[in-house]
Amino acid sequence: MDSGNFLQIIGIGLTGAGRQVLQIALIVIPLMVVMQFLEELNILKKVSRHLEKVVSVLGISGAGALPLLVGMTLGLAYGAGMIIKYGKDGKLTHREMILIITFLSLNHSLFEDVLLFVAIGAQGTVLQVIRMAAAILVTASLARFLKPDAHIEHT
Amino acid sequence: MIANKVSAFGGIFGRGLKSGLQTTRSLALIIVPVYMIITLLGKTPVLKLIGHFFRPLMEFIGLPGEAVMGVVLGNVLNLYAAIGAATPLQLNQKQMTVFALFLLLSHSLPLEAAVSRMAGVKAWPFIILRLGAGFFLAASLNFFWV
Repeated sequence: MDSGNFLQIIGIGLTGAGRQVLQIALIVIPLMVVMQFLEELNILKKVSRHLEKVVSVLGISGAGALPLLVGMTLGLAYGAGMIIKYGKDGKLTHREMILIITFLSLNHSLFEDVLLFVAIGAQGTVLQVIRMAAAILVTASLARFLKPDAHIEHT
Repeated sequence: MIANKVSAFGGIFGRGLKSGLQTTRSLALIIVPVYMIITLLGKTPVLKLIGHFFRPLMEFIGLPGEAVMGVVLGNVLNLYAAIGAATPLQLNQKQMTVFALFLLLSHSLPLEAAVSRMAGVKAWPFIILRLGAGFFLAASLNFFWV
């Protein structure tokens, strides 16, 4: 590979990476502004309380409901962004972070990703039902195995 | 009274903007290098070798051998690459759904593993979980779809 070719590849990589970061910024920045309002106006607490029972099946406290919802709809990266913030703020334990990421790693970007495949001929309902069921089953099972405390290694 | 409210809202807006910029910055610090490395790897024979190695596995889940490049590209790069590789194969609805299920469960692994690691969680168990769930459920769907 000569140096001109190499530079061209670097250029392609930088353009692609830049586009991806820009795409994320366009969603993350407005999302975080909205989140700040939801939080400081105490709307978050109220919503989380309603979802507490639903997410408790997955071994996750009410505080985890929102990162779950965001990751499921917008994508893993956005959910993870919130998980990192909540972890720093002490709202989520390490165990809960593991459970949320387990769920989201199997089931995220619900609309965008599925529609991509429907567009090329896949059966969308089958896809989303299996994905959701797998995520719930795996996360709920893992919650039984992970001891209810921090400092647990994920094995 | 109104002025107070406006300035309170401005404060919330500013704090939200700051936290959005911080999050974007930390994601960018991960995404840019990973994307660069994968783009460079794509120009070497490494991806092709991986594809050759996993061909029998594709046939096991009812997909033509050529679909392996879609699975590999999707797992290493992203869903767009997977779709780009699958579209010319003219898969039927069942095959396309099996292919899609595999990739929806397991894709963009280097990038998303980096994101998980950033949340302070080990990445490799998730890579195994996602590849395992993708393969197992794709095989099951292929088996049970009549």
